[in-house]
Amino acid sequence: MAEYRLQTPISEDAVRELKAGDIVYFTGSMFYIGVSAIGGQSRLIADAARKGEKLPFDLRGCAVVSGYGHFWGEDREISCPARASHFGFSTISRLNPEVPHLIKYVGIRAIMGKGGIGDPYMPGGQDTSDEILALMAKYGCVAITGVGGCAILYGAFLKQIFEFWKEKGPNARVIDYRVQNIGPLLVTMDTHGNSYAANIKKEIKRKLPEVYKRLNL
Amino acid sequence: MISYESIREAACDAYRKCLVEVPQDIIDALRIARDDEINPDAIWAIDNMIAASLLAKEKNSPVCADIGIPSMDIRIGTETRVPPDLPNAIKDGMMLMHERMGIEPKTLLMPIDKAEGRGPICHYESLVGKDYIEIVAVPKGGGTEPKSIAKVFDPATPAIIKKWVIDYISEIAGKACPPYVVGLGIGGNLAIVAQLAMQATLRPVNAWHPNPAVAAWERELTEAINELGWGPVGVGGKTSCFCVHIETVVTSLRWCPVAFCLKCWPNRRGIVRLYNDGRIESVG
Repeated sequence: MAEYRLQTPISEDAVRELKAGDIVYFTGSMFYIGVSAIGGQSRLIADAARKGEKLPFDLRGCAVVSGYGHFWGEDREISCPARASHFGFSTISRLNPEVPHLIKYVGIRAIMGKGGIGDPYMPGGQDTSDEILALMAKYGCVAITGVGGCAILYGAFLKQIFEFWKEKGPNARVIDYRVQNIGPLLVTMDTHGNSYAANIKKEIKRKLPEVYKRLNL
Repeated sequence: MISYESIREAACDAYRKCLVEVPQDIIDALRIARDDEINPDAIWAIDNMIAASLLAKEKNSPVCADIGIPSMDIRIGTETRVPPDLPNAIKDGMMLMHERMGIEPKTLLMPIDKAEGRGPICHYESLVGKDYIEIVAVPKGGGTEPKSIAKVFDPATPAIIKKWVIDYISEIAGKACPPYVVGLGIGGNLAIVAQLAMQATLRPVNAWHPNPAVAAWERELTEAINELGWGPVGVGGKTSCFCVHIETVVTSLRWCPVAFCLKCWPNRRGIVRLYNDGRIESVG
């Protein structure tokens, strides 16, 4: 297990050095991509990248994050001592349909959140983890996990928030969260075919018969 | 009569508490899990959880970025007198919390016509013979609440119910901020069983059910889930679930409703009692 400091834009070589189990501290842009009921913005972003069109933001070499940040308690008359800002990592598989376009056509280098990317977001859903792991190996991208429910802790690393495409609606925004040395975070999928979530799934499958037996099922 | 102002203050306090203060039983359970753990990734996750819990309390600021849908159970003692505009006092209390903490209130939507509205979503019930109102504030976040589920089994045997619980949580595995607290409602009808499941999560970790037969189910399901090994945040480890707690009521001889209420590791809850004489007591 090694420790790395990543700064966006991250090069393909730098991301290929990382292995599942490594610790990273991340500086730069983590992009939240809005996912509305009719689908996310990744296709639009990927189309623009393929046509060479300029967008108001640049995801190349950056991370896409499942998470959100707030500056709560700032610039308000408040009667409590809260001056903290917050950044919380949320379930990464929410981005399952978005990620392939962004890895293939835009050149993102990391997907950040919690849980395994490609795993079914809801029980019984589609599992695309093998396909995404293959894309990560081919194009150079990793999954990085933060601890959910610890937004107060990660908030200290959040420096600025820039919002784009606000006019498209609250679920269609793109938000650039600028962070400095956020970490320690854990690499959980790498470019060498290693995946924590895949290992966990295998273990569950292996142990389930024993558990059924113990419960007399 | 319990005043409008004191109800507003109690609702504000219950709601602040559930967002800010990770319950002591959870912090204790995290420490026990850490002492028991050998997986360095799990230790990394638990250390972050403990640090976040302590920092949130110190800064009087929410532990999680997802403040969830504000949900409150209002239990009214039959020996109390409450103002007729009690629901407004509760809503005012929620808004007061937002104002004091500098947090934007969450916009909620009507599911059909998409009309906008505000919380809290309240459930009222009576406490026979009690001289207080109990306000239970529980934020329902997007990580676990969409994975909560209810089902009526016909036929329903212990084996069918237990297998369903194990299979269902195995599919969720590490995706929703484990170690989990799982509340199971078993029995009654569909309307009541979901409420039972939520109430089961309010008991502190390992405060097993007083009925030994129910407690035996709680222990064996907890141990079985922890055997599966997804661990804290799904990075592997010994503690995948702090506890399974169950509430039951009578039901049909053949069929049986079961509700599964999933709570993420902080098991956020704020329980406040407000007495006839104006005293406010924090009870969980």
